[in-house]
Amino acid sequence: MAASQRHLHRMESFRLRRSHLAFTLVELLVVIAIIGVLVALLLPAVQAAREAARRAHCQSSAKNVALAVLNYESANKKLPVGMSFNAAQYRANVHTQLKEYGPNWIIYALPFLEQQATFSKFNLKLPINNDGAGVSTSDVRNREARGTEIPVLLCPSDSNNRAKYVGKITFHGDNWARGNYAANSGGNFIGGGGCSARPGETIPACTAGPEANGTLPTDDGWTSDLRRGVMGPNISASLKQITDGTTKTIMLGEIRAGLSEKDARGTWAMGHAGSSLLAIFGSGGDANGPNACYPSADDVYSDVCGTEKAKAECMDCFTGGAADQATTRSSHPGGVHIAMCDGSVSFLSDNVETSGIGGPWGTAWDYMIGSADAEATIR
Amino acid sequence: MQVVRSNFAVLALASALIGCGGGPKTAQISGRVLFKDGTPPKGGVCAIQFLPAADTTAEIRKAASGDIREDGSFEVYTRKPGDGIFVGKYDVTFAVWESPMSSKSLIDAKYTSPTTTPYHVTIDQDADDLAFEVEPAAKVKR
Repeated sequence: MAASQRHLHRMESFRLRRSHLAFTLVELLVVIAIIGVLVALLLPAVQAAREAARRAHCQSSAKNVALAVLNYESANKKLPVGMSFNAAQYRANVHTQLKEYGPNWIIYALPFLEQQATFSKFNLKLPINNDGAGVSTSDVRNREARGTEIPVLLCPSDSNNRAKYVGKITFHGDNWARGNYAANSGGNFIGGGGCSARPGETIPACTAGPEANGTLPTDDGWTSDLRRGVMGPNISASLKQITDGTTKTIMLGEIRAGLSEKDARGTWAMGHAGSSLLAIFGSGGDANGPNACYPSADDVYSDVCGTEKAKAECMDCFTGGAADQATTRSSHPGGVHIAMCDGSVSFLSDNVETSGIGGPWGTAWDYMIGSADAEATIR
Repeated sequence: MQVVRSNFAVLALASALIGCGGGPKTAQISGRVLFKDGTPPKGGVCAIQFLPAADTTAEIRKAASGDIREDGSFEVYTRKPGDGIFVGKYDVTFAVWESPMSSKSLIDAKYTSPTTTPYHVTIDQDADDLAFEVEPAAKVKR
């Protein structure tokens, strides 16, 4: 009797102790489930915080680049030209592509970005794509210089901006470093429009450029005040000529680097739409508004145009027009950073008023593009 | 314990569903654009735009647009295919051009401007039967 009682007591105390020794499987699962839920709740917050930090970085870089451009303006009494090319040479080759690219606005602004060393590396007497097929000479200085990664031109939110552009077509050459900022060349195609008026407008809206059908404006690169930007091909405005007010006119917008190494978008030394210029990115085209996600929106040199990947990333493009159209794009959720001509930088929502595919001119976004569109034209 | 765990699952699902979403109301709209004779307009650029009317109640003033397909049908979206249109009042305009570079409108000019278009619509719910009739551009007299 006594033995069995003792045995019972020992059993109970063992059971009691056993329950304190470890968790049951169910308890463990519940704990894991709770931790899982907590992590699931926390992860998006952490990601958002990291993106917010990257966004702040991109914003301050935009400010630095805009200030460099304004310093250039102070020294030269004009903004740098968006892109430069030999107009006489181009006239002699009407209806063919210009194959030799002069310096663009970023190259001209390098000394003001504390990049004097990179600026000195360039031989500006030669084309920037100097070593490309058909443009080749033995001088490789421009190839080396254009491959220099300039930290202030790179926005860390863009995951594609470390792979260099290797040339979609042979005369581009290779070794082009990326950049995430593009200048406002206006609401026109760069040249490609052949200097015709957009439907419903009376003044030809063209901007001289390599893809122009030979019709170069005689006096000014912008024939239409409605659509003129601030840094165009062989032309630029002085701050005085920005009659809309410098606070209301876009100077720079963010762009995304190309999705492949043969996608020329976001290439800092190349003076082309999508590479370092924004062109016809308002009404009258299909790249209308920030992060426009229309089919074949940007007209650029790229091998991803029309692919599912480009469409899914809202980076679809069209190669038929070569490089005459591109809008401002970013990897930030909901909008892009825009630097105005007074040097202020703001985050502009994708929801800014635009007129859609081929819509008529006259939206809030259009008036930010035009540098001399009179208030009277607001509908 | 089973009950407790499934409660967690429900809670996680509910918070995932409630967490996102919101924003101004949108509608999915589609329809057809035809000439009077029943043929669709065609061009290198062929698109319909819903431009926010001056007195629109839409919280976000942004046009929605869409390409007009070969059979005259269209689907309208604001920024990204499938995102629909913000509910509100719109002036409906059209762009039918020879090519993206062209200066020539292939339909009567009155359909290209929000001030002269005869079409003003209020979008408050999904619709797939919007019908618009346009006229071709008048032949230029020589």
